[in-house]
Amino acid sequence: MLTVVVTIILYGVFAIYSAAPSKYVASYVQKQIATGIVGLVFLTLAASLDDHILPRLSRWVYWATVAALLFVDIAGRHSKGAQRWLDLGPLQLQPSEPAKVVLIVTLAAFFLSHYDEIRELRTFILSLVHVALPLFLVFKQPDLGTSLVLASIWIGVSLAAGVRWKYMLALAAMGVVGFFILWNTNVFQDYQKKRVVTLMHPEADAQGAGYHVKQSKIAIGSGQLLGKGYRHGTQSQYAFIPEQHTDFIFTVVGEELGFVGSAALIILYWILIARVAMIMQATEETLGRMMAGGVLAMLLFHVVMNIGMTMGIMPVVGVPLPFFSYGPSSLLSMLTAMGLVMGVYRRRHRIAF
Amino acid sequence: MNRLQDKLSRKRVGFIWPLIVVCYALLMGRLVYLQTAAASSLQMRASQDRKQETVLAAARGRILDRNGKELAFNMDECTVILHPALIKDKVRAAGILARNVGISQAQVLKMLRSDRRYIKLDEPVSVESAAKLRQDILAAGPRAKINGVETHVSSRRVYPLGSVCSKLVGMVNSRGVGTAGVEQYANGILAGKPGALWGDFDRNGRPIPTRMRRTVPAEPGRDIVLTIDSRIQYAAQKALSAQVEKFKARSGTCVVLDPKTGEILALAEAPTFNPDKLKQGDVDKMTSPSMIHLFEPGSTMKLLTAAAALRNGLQNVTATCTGRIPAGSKVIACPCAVRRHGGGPVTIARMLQYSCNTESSTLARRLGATKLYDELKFFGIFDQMEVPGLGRTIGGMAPDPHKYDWPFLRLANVSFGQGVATTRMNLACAYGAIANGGTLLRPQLIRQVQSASGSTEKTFAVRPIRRIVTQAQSATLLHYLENTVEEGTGKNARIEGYLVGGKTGSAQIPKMGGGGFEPGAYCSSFIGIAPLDDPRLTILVSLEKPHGSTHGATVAAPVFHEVAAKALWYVGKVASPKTAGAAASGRVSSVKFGGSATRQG
Repeated sequence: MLTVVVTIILYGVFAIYSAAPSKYVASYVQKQIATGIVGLVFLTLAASLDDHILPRLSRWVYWATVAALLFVDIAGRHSKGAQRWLDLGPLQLQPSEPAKVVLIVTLAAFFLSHYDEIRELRTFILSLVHVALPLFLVFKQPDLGTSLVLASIWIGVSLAAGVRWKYMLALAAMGVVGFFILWNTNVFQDYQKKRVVTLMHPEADAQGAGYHVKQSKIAIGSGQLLGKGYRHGTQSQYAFIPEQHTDFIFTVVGEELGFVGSAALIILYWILIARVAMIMQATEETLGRMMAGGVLAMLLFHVVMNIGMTMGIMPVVGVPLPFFSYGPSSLLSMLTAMGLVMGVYRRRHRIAF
Repeated sequence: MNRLQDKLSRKRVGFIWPLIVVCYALLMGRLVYLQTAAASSLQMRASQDRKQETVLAAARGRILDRNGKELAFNMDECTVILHPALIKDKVRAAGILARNVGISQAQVLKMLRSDRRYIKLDEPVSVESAAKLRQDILAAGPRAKINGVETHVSSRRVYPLGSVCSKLVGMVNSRGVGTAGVEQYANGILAGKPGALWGDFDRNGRPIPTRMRRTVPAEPGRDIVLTIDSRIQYAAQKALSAQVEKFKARSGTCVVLDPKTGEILALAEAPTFNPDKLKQGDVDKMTSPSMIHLFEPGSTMKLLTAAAALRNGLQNVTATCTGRIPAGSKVIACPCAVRRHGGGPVTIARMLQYSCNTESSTLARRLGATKLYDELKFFGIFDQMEVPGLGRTIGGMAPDPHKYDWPFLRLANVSFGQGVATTRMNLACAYGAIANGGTLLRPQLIRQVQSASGSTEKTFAVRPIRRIVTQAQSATLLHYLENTVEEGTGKNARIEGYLVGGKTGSAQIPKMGGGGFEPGAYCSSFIGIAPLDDPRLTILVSLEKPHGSTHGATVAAPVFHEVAAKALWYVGKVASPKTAGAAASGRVSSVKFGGSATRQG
């Protein structure tokens, strides 16, 4: 599993080198590699933490994260119309990234402490409250992508915990009904509605929001079987695709390395996700199973949403490609999350002895 | 309970597998679709996004006079644009700008300190000054933060002779397309062909070096060498404008032709306009009245009546002038000077000398309306004549006697140039034919077309239309014209040292819309030929509605005198002592005298 992760990171560095604006390419590559090394330390730490310490630790970290998110909303650094970053001198932190990991552990710990009442509505609602607080703060930044990730994490953890299907379905139904009511009663402003429509039909706005998708589809499609060659993608190299070293990095792979390169990456993710799923199924440990469920949901959501949006089958929401996109905060959190799963795997071994 | 719950949950997490498989099928399926089925159309769109066409402007050709002097050319210059907000060290920037754009430092500083976001300097600067300006800004260093100075190269059409040649050369509009004169009529030759650059460009419009690049260089416009001699043009325009002003005439024309080639050496018209400082109403001045305005020539027509008489064996017909010509119920006045010079029978020579209407009417009566009409037509005054680079004359007109009977009044009128209309260019050409020994030539304005590199691409040869009089008749008529200048109405046209011939004309101007003539409105003209022993110039001068005097002799002939005196020098004719001997022996082969009979005074 570690091998797969490291492979994806290195593959990602390789792609960032091709995709990043030439002015910053050196600093991006250096940062990504350095973060990867630090991240491996985090991973080791997370893997070695005891399953008794994690729940206790998670409470503090959870509140610290909520405080950080709150602080970002009030005083964070702006970038492209959203406040996401905390300025810590040379370090810029995006608290919504670690929030994903923190939420996984917190939710798992919460369900564990209420394991006897797991099938009760009260537990279900309390867990919702846990996720709602950071989700709301992230949504306000605004960062729709991460909010959806947090929601998917909640779904993953609670399903692995074993909440009632009934409640889950009822919530989903309520959500849909509520949305339609709000939609038709003018609670949303027109521009907000338009944004949602564009999300679903990006081709309708080819110069604006749909531009990303159109360009990225063109790039991937023109790659064909073997691609145009590393650093020879006409669309990627000449700035037609925005955010191509972060959220849209998959297009660079698609265009320059073709079907072979992109399928290889998808298969790497498949191996990774399958490994997490296998660990989730195999572990005897309740906390471990729930955490693995959360990580699995998070990974799957990221991969499907990110690759899906570059190929025009998913709406454009800003989620990075795990381990691959440039972004220290994301890389660190993902590696920590992997550390959690590896810890579960490690303990499973211990029990087996 | 916990154990059971655990077991349940563990069983349940198995459902994750189908979900993973579905997600993967979706991603892989889409990937395969995009990179195979949709690949070619997407690839095409990829190249479309990059492809752009850039138009490369073609340099417009120059317009040159016959000696290679530039009458119109393009000059690159730079427009300077300031963005005050982007200039930090304003005092220093003002100093640099003042040094290079020719505005005082205080003035520039005031501009830079204003709130305006964008200031375009009124006066463009030379390309050299702009380069110096950029260099100085660079030298000021990054600390001065002088970022808001832009220079844009643009091409401006320059007309060195200004209003002297403007009616002829014309002008271009803001997009560089000729809208008047030669600029308009020869736009196709001057404009060249714009080129294009096809290539791949990134989203920010910078070129990408790919193999798909293709350049079709712009084909520069060709230079046009006119038949105009700018020195003669200058003389003609100055003399004409001065005379138009002196007599407060409505308009004036001075056409200078080389009778042997049909080349237009000068075409001056007044009022004119300054192509660099257009005023309201200038658009109306951009047409050429010599080409497209009909006028009734008046007595200058008598030379053609005389030519028709010679061609029809009427050279010895004379008349007795009483000053009154009865024409049906009306009487035509003949204000000629014959009676003050002894009266007696009026020959064709004396008719021209003293501008006698009685003799011309007599000749007309002998010829008959249809004959006179056909002869005038034969002399080309009704033809539309194409002049490359200048358009086409609108020809002339008179009621066709083959269809409508001419009463004697009209017949008599036509014989001295009333009730018949032509253009000044047509008439000048007919005189030119008589000057060159009898061949009517098409007028020419373009002498050569040259490629931008200077090689000649096309030369315009002399284009004869037809012979209208014999050499002998031509010589006779020229001699008559000589007498007219030496001893008759054209004395003001005399030039010391040269043999000069010519004919005056003072025509009434018909009312607009027909029905007689405008009272007191005259068109005064003079058409002269010089030197008679080797005709090199045919000059038509015509002023419309002069005030004070209306006689061609006093209004138009002095302009001829001034223009011809200078032009003779420019065409290489050195003054020679004018003697009877010179008149008898000095004439070159093309102009022979008709015999002693015509020499009687």
